[in-house]
Amino acid sequence: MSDLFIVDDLTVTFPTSRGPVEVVKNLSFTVGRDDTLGIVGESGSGKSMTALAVLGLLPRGAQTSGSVRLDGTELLGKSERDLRAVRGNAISMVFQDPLSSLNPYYTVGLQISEMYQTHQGGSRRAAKQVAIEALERVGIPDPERRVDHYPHQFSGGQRQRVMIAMALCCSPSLLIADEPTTALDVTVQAQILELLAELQSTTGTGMIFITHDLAVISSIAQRVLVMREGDPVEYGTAEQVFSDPQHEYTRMLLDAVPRIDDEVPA
Amino acid sequence: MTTSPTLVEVEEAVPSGPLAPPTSGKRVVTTITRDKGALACLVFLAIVVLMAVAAPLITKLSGWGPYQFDSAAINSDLGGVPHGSLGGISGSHWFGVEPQNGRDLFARIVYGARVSITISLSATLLTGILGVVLGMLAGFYRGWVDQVISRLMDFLMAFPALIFMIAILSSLPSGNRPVLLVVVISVFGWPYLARVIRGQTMTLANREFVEAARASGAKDTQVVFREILPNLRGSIVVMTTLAIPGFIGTEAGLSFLGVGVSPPTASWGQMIASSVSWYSVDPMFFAIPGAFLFLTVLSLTVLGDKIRTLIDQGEAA
Repeated sequence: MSDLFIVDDLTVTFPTSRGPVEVVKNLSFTVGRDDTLGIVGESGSGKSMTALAVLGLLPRGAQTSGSVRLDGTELLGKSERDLRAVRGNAISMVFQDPLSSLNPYYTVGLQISEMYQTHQGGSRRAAKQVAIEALERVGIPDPERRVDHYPHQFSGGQRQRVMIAMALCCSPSLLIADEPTTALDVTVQAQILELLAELQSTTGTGMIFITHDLAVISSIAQRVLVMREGDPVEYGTAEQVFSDPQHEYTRMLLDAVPRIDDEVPA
Repeated sequence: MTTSPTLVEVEEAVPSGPLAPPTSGKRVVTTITRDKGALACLVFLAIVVLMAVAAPLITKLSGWGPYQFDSAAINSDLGGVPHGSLGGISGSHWFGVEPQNGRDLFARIVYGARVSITISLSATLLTGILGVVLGMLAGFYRGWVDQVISRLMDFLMAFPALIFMIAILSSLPSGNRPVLLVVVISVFGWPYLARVIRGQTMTLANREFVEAARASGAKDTQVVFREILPNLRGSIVVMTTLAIPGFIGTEAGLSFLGVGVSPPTASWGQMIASSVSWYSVDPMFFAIPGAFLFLTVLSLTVLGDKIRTLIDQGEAA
């Protein structure tokens, strides 16, 4: 099997006072090496829950069934201890808001090197060197000096670059990006997308890109999964989904994107 | 993949400025030393602490110990009123003497500072540990742990603490009163800190950097000690500095009521208590320990308030 990451029939259920609620229903997809899967859907469609389920980070009480395999290893049902070794190491994650995802009390260098040391070990000095290299790789100018700066001393786009540097410092085989560009303005957004694509082509990391922005998906993903209220609505190559959407909901989403050649409503 | 157009680097330039987290200890110190009122409070507290630390040395210098009776300084014909005006203030008794037995007030103030400072600092430390640990446990683990700790806090806070303290302290053997005082004050004091810590831990635990730390493979202990605790630093500093004057007051109050430090150990509250029957003939006996108690509590409160303002500004920045 050449696929890196296989999710098969994943279902996530939350118990509520009005009975169990399925927030993700019978989801199946695959991500290959050097491949990007885009997951699109409106708020509450289960996109982020899917990402958390994969990492075993769901809130207490949630139940999962199905299968999640990375390089042939089943992740669902693994012990907390084993999962911790996977998180940040084999699978890492980039979050939406880079300011709130970085701890304001530590320098970015410390946060990157701590993550590296947790998973890869090594001396503090070596880890700091890794942090400097990681910052350089994501295009932070003057990384030797910037490594000792605090998150509030970086701009929004730079913070997201720091988050990406942190996510990639252990050379994960899969990167989950949960709306990484939503909090950024459009020009910075484009830079970050470019950076992600470039890093992916050099490292061969598989990527799951979660967003509600169809324009972003069309520029980065090879395969697209459309979700609605926990249901996988449509799954296929980006070309297929965008040019010939099979499902009515996908068509609706695509129609909601304003186009430059649209008629102005009267 | 569609090719994106070449982009001009638009990200802002490297912000200059000192390499420091939002509120550094250094900034707090420099701001306080620049503020005259706060500086005066700091100086006064330094004097009190110095008095407490070097008490035996100071009393050697002033010539009278705290337990020495000077029958020459009081007029036994008038029922023990000190000789001279202002409660017998003179070259040998700097703050005058106690009526009736002639003990040196200066020496007793100095030794009283020892009691006040030791008890309030130990109580603050114990309260701080209890409050932070239990508050974080409740806020981080939620569920039944939170239920148990929160109900215990409700119970202790709803309890008439003063009455209970008086009852407990007067019924227990007075073997080691200071330790007993610290324990009793802390047992009733920690819920006030823990309640704040619990709330803040709950919000911090839901912040994205905690989620990010988990997604990076951090253990619970790493999340608690590396991610949450440093962010609670401000609240802990403020809550504890503002708690110290409260504890000094509680200690003085309990000693005033006769259940605190047992005589002949000197304590400010106890001195005030014994001055009550003398206030019309010897007002200085009341005024001096009263002033020390008042100024110490005032200084600590002003300083604590100052630190809180500084940390609030830092967090908003």
